[in-house]
Amino acid sequence: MSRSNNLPWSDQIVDLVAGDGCIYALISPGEDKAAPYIAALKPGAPTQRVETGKADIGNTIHGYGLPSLTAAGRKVLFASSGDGGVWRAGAGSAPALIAGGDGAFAFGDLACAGDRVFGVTERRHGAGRTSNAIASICSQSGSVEILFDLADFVSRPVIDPGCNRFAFLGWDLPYMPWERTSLFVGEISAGAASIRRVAAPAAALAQPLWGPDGALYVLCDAEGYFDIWRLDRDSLCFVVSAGADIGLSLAGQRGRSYVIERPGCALAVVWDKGVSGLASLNFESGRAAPVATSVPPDDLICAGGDGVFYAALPVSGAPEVRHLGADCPVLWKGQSSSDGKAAFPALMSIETSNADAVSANYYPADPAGALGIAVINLHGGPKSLAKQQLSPPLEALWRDGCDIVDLNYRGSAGFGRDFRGRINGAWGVIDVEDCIAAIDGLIEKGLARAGRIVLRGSSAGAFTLLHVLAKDSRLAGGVAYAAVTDLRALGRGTHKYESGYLKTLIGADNLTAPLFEQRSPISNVRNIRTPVLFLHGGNDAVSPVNGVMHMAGLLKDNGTRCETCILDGEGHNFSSSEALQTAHKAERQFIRSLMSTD
Amino acid sequence: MSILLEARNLTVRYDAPAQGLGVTKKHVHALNGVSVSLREGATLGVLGESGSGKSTLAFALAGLAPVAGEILFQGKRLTPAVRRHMRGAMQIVFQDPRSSLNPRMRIWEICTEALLLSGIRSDKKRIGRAEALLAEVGLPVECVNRYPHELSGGQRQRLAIARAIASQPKLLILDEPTSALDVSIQAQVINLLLDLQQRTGMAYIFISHDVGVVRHMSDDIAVMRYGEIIETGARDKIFDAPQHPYTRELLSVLS
Repeated sequence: MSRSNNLPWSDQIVDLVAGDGCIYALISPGEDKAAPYIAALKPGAPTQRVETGKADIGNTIHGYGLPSLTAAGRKVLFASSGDGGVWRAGAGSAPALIAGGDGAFAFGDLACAGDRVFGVTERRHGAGRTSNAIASICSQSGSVEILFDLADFVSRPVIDPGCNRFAFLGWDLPYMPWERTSLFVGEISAGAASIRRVAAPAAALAQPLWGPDGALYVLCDAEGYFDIWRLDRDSLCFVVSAGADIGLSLAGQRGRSYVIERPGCALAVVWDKGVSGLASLNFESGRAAPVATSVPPDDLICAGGDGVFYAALPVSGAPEVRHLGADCPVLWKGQSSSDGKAAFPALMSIETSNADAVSANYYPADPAGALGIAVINLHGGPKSLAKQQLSPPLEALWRDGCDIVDLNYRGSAGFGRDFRGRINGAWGVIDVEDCIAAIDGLIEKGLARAGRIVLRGSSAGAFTLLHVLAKDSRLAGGVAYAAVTDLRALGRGTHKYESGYLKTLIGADNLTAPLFEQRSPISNVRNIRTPVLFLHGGNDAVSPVNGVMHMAGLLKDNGTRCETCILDGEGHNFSSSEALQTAHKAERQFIRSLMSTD
Repeated sequence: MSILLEARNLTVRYDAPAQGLGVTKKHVHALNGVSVSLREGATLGVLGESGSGKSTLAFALAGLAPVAGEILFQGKRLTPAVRRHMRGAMQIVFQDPRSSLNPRMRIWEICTEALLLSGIRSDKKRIGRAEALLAEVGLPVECVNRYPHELSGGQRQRLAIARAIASQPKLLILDEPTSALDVSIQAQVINLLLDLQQRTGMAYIFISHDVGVVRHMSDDIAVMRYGEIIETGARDKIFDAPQHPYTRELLSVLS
């Protein structure tokens, strides 16, 4: 393991929206982990960086605060996580604060039509309590009017192009937005009094979108996959299915997964068994036809005056913004440390319990440098997805000569509602079964040897990892990033957005229920004999570092090799370049030490 | 990058079996006026359905099928005499390694057949070279004295690749090299080919009906139908803006 000590890096496309005459892309730089910036892209013209002044693009809404952009004619709107305000910027013009910024509200998730701006606000009441509302913002005066605060959470406001109607999503605890969501609509002129809930199936709704035909479309998974539905009169009606999930729609506001290309036809990013592709969907015939692309799409697609644009997701290396059907399809290409060498991922199917099958992306190491070490990665879900792209640490391990197996255990997104829901009540059980089934499959196929398999995972993935270590002796070791070790502590400390999530995953309503103790990895310390490395942020508020230190102490007392690497100043997700490099070095050193003791 | 291979107006014609008494003998054009070019160190992917002429093109380029037209390799017109002189600068790997590996030969003998042409006849030298080749393709050196049937499907394909690269070719023609393999093994072979190309600068002609694999491997793509190339160009252009209706249909069906 001596090819390169540096962690690979790559820019990321966080959001993509179509404005008047250009496409705005929100870019997160990879090399130095600097603040995200906005690029204005136009076919045939050089990329322009949009000046955002002192505003730092982001927000704190719903615990995770995913940054996003909203096109406003020739300008772009965004929320700033620093002052919580709403900002407007454009290529060649100075940024301006149009609302908030005084700390009264935090804004996020904006929508704009004409001079009308809608957004989600979050107000903090102390003791960790927050409330969310849909607000109407006057872009001239900056005044804010609360329109709707009757749901625990709201997201994704959208305004029709004629500026007459608006819509948004809302949901209540204990549900997460991918479990049960409601769609609300209202008349702009009538304001709050006109808002009504649309009759819809008891299912998840995501990404409302006004079509060019004036109709309101939304993704709904009532039929098993996220399909396109439409508001007809007062209720939602099924329109067309791709036979697989359209978009990942995980956090209510993430993803722009479809566009109404023309009346009766949509283009969508489809996740078929966790693998992305574009599809053209005909509303009349109900036919979904794949649209080939030279690089698979990520979950971002938008339609502007010049055509359809999408974010492309290469297996490794720099992402691209691509112009569908154009002679020069690459509108923008990010930067990365890649030398152009990319692993070829094979989609492996693994049989697991109850005749279920899970899939994994398998990236075999280059034969000439293969170390004969298989690294199984467990994503930080449990409702996340291992896309067909190597994350920087996984790419580094692959380049070192490790075979990488990126597992989509039951509960992962991108496989339909049923698959996603199977982990409910069974977290710490079926995810563990799936991981052990993957180990069985690798050994049976001759792709890995007992004692040469390393498990790694972060957050929920590390929770699963610790359970697997307690049950399976064929592993050489485990690398646990931001591990969840004590479910009760997690339940007590988590934020409002996820406050019902844990109970759904465990299948018990009260944190005092015995299941929470039984399923906590710290209760199984005596059964773990395999070496473990814990990598944890010193300021992790989701899974406090004390829990990991306690578990590490118990493991050592039990005679199990255990190492800890605590990264001061880091939270649940490591953000600084230095912390990521330090964690990477510690992980490589740990794996090397495991293999040298053969 | 300069042009490594240029094929102009290649035509391969087979006699169709005569049907009934007095019926005039007919010909089948397996290749009909095909022209392709390949840059040094690049990969040309050839896509098409079964029977479209992909494998015939591979055979024609490798000199394994009688062909009309002109093939230039490193600027020289390929004649039988020139091919002999090239000493393995162009090699081919077939879909099914079982039928292309001599079951009576040991692995080191298979790997180093090409060295005999270079006058290297010492067994010791050949075994040493075979061990290096096996390591290069990720096969355990211990299997140097084994026979092909003792290897798995993926290992046999690696052996076929080891044999092909023994003469340090400039061009490898890969005719459906992963079609017969399990997906996990297929990925190993694909990654091996990508790694070899990066290390050695070999050019590939990669023939497959698997759109995903061709997309991952290729710089340029040629789409074949009924023995003709109906569309050719850079990978991005073919995938993101296909011009020919058949290409659009093929990509949507095979995606």
